[in-house]
Amino acid sequence: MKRIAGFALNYYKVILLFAILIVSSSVTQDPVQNIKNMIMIQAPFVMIYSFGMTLAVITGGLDLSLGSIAAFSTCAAAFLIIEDQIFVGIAVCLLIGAGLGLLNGLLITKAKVNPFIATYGMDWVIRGAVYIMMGGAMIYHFSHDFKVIADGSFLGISNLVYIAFAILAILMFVFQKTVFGRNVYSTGANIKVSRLTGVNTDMVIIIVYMISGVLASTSGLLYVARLDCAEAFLGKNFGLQALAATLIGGTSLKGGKGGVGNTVIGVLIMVFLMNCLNVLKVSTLWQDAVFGLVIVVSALLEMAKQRYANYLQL
Amino acid sequence: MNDTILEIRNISKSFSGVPVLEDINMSIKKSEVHVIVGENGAGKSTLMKIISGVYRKDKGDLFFEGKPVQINSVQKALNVGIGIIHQEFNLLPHRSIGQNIFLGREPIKSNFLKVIDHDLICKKSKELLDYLGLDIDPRTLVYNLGIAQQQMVEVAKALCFKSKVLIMDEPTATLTRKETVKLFEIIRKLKSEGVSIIYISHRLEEIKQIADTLTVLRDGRIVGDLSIENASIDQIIRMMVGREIKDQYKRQYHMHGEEVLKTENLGAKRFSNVNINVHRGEIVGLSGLVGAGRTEIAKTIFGEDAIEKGSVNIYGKKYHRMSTQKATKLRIGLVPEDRKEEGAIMEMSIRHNIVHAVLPRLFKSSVISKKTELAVATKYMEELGIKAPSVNKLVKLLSGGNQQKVVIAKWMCADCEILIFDEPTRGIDVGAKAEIYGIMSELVERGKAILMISSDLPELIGMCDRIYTIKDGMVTAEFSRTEATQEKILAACV
Amino acid sequence: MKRNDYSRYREIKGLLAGVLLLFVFMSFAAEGFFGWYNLHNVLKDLLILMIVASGMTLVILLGKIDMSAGSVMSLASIVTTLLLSYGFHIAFALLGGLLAGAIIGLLNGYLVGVLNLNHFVATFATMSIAKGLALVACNGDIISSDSDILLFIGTGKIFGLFFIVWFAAILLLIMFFVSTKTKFGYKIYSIGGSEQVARLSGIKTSNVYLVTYVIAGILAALGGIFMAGKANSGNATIGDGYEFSVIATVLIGGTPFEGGKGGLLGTLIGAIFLVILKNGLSMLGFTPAWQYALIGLAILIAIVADVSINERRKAEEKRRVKL
Repeated sequence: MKRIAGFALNYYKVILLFAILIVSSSVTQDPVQNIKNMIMIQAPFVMIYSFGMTLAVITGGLDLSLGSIAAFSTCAAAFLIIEDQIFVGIAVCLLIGAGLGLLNGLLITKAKVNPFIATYGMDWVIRGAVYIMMGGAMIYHFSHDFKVIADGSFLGISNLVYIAFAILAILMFVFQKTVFGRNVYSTGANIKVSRLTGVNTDMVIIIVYMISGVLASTSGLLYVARLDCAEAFLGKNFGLQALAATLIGGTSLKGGKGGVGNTVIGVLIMVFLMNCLNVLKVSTLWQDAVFGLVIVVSALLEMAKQRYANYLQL
Repeated sequence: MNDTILEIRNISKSFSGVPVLEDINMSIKKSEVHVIVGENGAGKSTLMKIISGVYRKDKGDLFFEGKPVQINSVQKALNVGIGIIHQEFNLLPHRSIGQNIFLGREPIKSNFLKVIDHDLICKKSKELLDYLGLDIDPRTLVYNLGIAQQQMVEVAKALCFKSKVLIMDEPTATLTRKETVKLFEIIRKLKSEGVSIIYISHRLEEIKQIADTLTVLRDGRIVGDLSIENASIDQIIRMMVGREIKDQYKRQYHMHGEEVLKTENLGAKRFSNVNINVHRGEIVGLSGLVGAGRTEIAKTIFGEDAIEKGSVNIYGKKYHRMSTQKATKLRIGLVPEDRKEEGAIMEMSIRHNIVHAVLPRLFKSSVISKKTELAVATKYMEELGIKAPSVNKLVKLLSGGNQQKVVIAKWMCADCEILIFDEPTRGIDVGAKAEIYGIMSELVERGKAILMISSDLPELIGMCDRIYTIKDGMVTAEFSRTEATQEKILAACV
Repeated sequence: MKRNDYSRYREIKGLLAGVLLLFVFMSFAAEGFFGWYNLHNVLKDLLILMIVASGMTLVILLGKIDMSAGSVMSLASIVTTLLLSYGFHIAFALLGGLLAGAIIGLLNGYLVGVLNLNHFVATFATMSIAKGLALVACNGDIISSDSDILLFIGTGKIFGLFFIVWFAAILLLIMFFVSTKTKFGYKIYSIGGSEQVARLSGIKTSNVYLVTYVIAGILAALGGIFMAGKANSGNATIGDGYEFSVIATVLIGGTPFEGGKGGLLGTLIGAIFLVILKNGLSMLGFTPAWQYALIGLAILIAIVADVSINERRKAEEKRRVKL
């Protein structure tokens, strides 16, 4: 009994993944195409901004401003890209992402605002700024050269997958293999010890939020290229979905644990779940409620795991 | 025996498998002051927390006034008549004295909505404060009070419950001599009114003044019950430590090297005008009461707290601003008092913790080589004798002594020249203590400089070349190894 | 010998001066701001904000937060109007709306107080659950009501003053009384001051969390019903982002995140400040997008200021208290 419970708690993610997969494929006519669609097209977007959230969660915070950073940076860049200045546009987009992330980081480290409140507040401010900038308009009909970033494929696999996995590889390397990555984990696990060991914890946190901002604007850019449209409402659900994916993936809110690898599984669970609801003809209006439930459930699972671990040790 | 009010039988308790109390038997008589002494980590506080319902006991029984009682919550203990004044205060700084005294059992004016009778609180609190000889308005917010006054509020809180047994856990640790005298008066007054007092203290000299009976705890066991008339301080000390004091400090005293650390009129939040210096090959002690500003001095030197006045000189170079990053780059290391919160990352492995400080220097290219990391961690783990099955074991699973060795290993691994030890042996068992003393001696023999803070006087005297005493944020005296005695140091601290 | 209430007054004195200054500024700068018609309407907004904020104040006094307040408002407005549209009596409809708030509150209290989940994340999750349920229930549409009573609740007047003025006056008085004079209020302050101390004093903390979150849920639902009454319709986006204003109101009013001090009086002044700012900005001719960004910015500045002032105060207190 003890063993089964332990197994279930350790591998619940994989079990969940397969359960959802089986349910969703059993009701679709073309399960292979369906799964391919999810992995090729839907998952990469979610993955990229969820990585941003995961990094923030590892430092012991979180980033709820992902969606509005994506909207603001892409809308600003869209003005350039529509004039065919694609590279300048992309550079501006990523720079704005980094800049807004920097603001988040400064609010959290220097002004000592709780990360939740800081990024939630920034979300509102940035979203307001996007509304002002766009004034209700949209920018669309981009050139083919730009759209191909998201639409194109290589060897039959969507560019999105390559981009997402390139980012994953880089992040895995940086956060598992470098001194900086180690400092991010130690800062998340215990900021006081890390500071007393000579780690510049403020800098670590600021850089992580900047990376998170860049990842948000990257995924925003891909969305714009895919939808061929930049609008102020982009990414309304990013924060919520990314948090759900990160937590169900097993990165702990306490910080210092988990990683982007876990989040890949978390994202797959979320994407499959959404798809499953789609297939079952559940209204998309349920989305918010489902995200919320996933967050609660994963927090509860995390707690159960913790208790079980303590129980095993004694 | 009908004059026994509280009897403790066969109580045992262990935390995560480590026994803290084993088979404790004790009886407290009516209107006596029963003193419990023992070294840090002997289990005194744990025992008291069991009696007062904070912890649950694993085994054993409690009898109150001859009847068996089950004490499973603080509330239950209070209802039975057992009150406790904890070592750390349990007061709410933003509530008034009255509100704190009646916390959790405020008198109610009307049953509708349970309206609280604030006037009654004020009146009764005033009476209690008067009884304790304190002239303060009970409506004053607690954070406006000094430490001694807060202590009195705690006493008032316990009195207000009409406790028959009152536990005081190191009540004089933060009091001045004058305040202590006053507290003793109150204790005698309570005693004469039939209250039994369980009094925990480190300060052997004050025990003689108030104790009726004495129990000595060591490593979770009772090693002796004495009546105070037949107990000499020497005897008590011998029972507490179970060994000769001087044995475990194997220091060799060499010539000192150059001066590496010096403070010039250093001042910050809790201290001012501090001038101390440390040479290579030397252990310098900081002695003083809890709250005197010792830890703050250490943290300011290390850059965790901001320097407000004066400067810190490291290797002869003057610094008016410090940061923890700068300090570690200058090869200063801090072994903090609070191991679990500030010393090591409990949720990470031994390996991660040991190489934590040396990382940027060890891997110049910033890419971590797991092989090098493992080799370095293993080397220091073996060198310091950290007992664990592997370097990948989480630090939280180690014993206190081994955790402390991990913290020290972190700084040795970073090749620190100046080490600051803040209460290095607190909460560590006797064997590990000796090992830590050994490590410290070896470090200074290798030419490192050590600044050591400790409340344990024999330890300070045994280990240090020189000792500074701190009182209320000022350096009051300096003693060399030969002139230092417990009495002299204590006199300079209080 | 200074009284507590007096020292409390000293703390909010600066804020009071700021509010007066803002009021005078808006009166001169914004055309149409200083007039009975406008101010009476501002008062209505103020009281809706204040009703929700009073619940939030209790939660923040506990050292916790309730992100779900805005969504609960939406949910309550939908539930009430939906029940009306199914032909239920207005009393049941209102009760249903309040019950929805109570249930979300109970869930919050359970997750935070009993299961000990991170309060930010737990209430953030219930926020999206409540929002999702509201959206599903109304299918994304606005639900209009033809109830005169709901309309009266939102816009009706008694003796020349809006119904809500009378209602809120009584409600807020009760809340003020409960939070400062009763055993329950004392418990909230104690737990916020130090949960450990409260527990050692025999206070059953989880019960207090449960009850407080339920109260906060019901008050948020009440705010949502008033909003629904104002438009005589239910809307799943009615409370979007409202929790942000509410939290800011509480913080501006001098109840810090760590809990244990502050209170409703400060929140009231914070609410006045925020509502005047909002109304004044629109009177000054800022577009809604600009208002959105400017108010967000103002709130963020207020939060940063609050945090930094508290940091300094805490440092000052640490010097005096050994905790």
